Amino acid sequence: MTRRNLAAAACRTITEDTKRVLRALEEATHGRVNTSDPIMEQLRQCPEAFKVGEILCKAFDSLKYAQDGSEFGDRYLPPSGAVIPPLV
Amino acid sequence: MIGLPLDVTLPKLKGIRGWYCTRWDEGPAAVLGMSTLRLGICRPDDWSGSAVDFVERGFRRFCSRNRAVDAKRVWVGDLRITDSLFELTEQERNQVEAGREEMTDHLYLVGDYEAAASIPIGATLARLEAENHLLPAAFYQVLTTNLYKWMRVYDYLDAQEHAEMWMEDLSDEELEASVYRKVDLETPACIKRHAKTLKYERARNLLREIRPHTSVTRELIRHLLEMDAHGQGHAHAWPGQLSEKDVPGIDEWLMDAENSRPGCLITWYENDAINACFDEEAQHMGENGPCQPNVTLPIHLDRPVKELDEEVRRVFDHASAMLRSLAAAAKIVELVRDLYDEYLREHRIESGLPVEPGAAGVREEQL
Repeated sequence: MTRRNLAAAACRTITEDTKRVLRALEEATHGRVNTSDPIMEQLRQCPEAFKVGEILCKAFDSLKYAQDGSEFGDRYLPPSGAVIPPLV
Repeated sequence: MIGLPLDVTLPKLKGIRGWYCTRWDEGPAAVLGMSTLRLGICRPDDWSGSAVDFVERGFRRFCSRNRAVDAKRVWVGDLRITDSLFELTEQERNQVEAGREEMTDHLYLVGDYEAAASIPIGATLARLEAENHLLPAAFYQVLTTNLYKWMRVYDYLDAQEHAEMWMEDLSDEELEASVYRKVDLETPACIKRHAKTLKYERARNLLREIRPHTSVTRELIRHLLEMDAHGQGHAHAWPGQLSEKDVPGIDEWLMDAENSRPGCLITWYENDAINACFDEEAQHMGENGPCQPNVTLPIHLDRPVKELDEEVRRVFDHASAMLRSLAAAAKIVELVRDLYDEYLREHRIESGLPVEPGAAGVREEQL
């Protein structure tokens, strides 16, 4: 392949990549599920799991912060993603 | 790595991002992401499946290309793209998102400072005066004019205002002993004499024409003219400039908000009267409401593509100028601090005074 052909191929790839990402972003503006993401795809296939997660999330949210008599802003639960080692 | 074991571990799962965003965040980010992709700020390979992640990657690279690392050496703060004009706690954000019915049609580029960078400029002014009697005032004028484009500056003029307000209630005896009187007394003659008459244009011409004899003066002027060049065509984007048409509800929010926190404190020397006035004011900053950000530029996501792209380009141009200008300013501040430290060393040797805590240490404590 000549240098010019290589450049043209690269240019075409860039344009195609750009179009692909623009399409994905366009879908995201409408709140559509991104199927290239494994977690999102699993949620799409099994929305019940999402519902269960949502209910648990709400239950934990009500516990997350301090209740009456405690300092405002005190956390009862660690932030999401934190893994707490077992007590020794 | 040597250190105490952490009691919290965040596992990294292969192929899974560390965080996910709500659709309230993904939607606006996707609109901005499309615009930044069209403008070449983001690239297709920034795409990881999340619009927020996409914009963040592009924005990080943009900041890095515009010398954010150099700017960070002196300026303590952040430049962020956000959907809220003021910072929210996690709890407040959760409440806002729970009550939201539709996607926001505004994002903002917000610039703010967590601490005021200390600029003890007295020793530098003395050096400049040795070259030309107008040079200190010219340097001060161009430096502060340019800093004001990106931040609130606290200097002797703010200290004078603060001092005058408090001196009204003092008796003669109290006045004699007060620090407020010193604000005026400590102002260098080279600034007092020329600051009001030497305007920006004339000051900049003087800086361009002068041929300094010492390398440090040459460096100071070179960096200042570079800073000035980056700031050309840009004005300070205060939140106060926003109208109700731009951002609905802005007037009410501005009424409840306090003035911005200063991004720098220009003193003659550390712990002088300006510093004392600043410390007094800083104690009460943010007590009566959130402090306005130093820089706020809105991005209207509901505009037609062409208009949106023009606005995003304008906002990113502003960010680029700000970062490059502050990177040049950081070099100036480092030289100013070096000259001040040198002055302290010489002063100690000549006077035989006992050694006090280093200037760097004092600076750390203040910040």
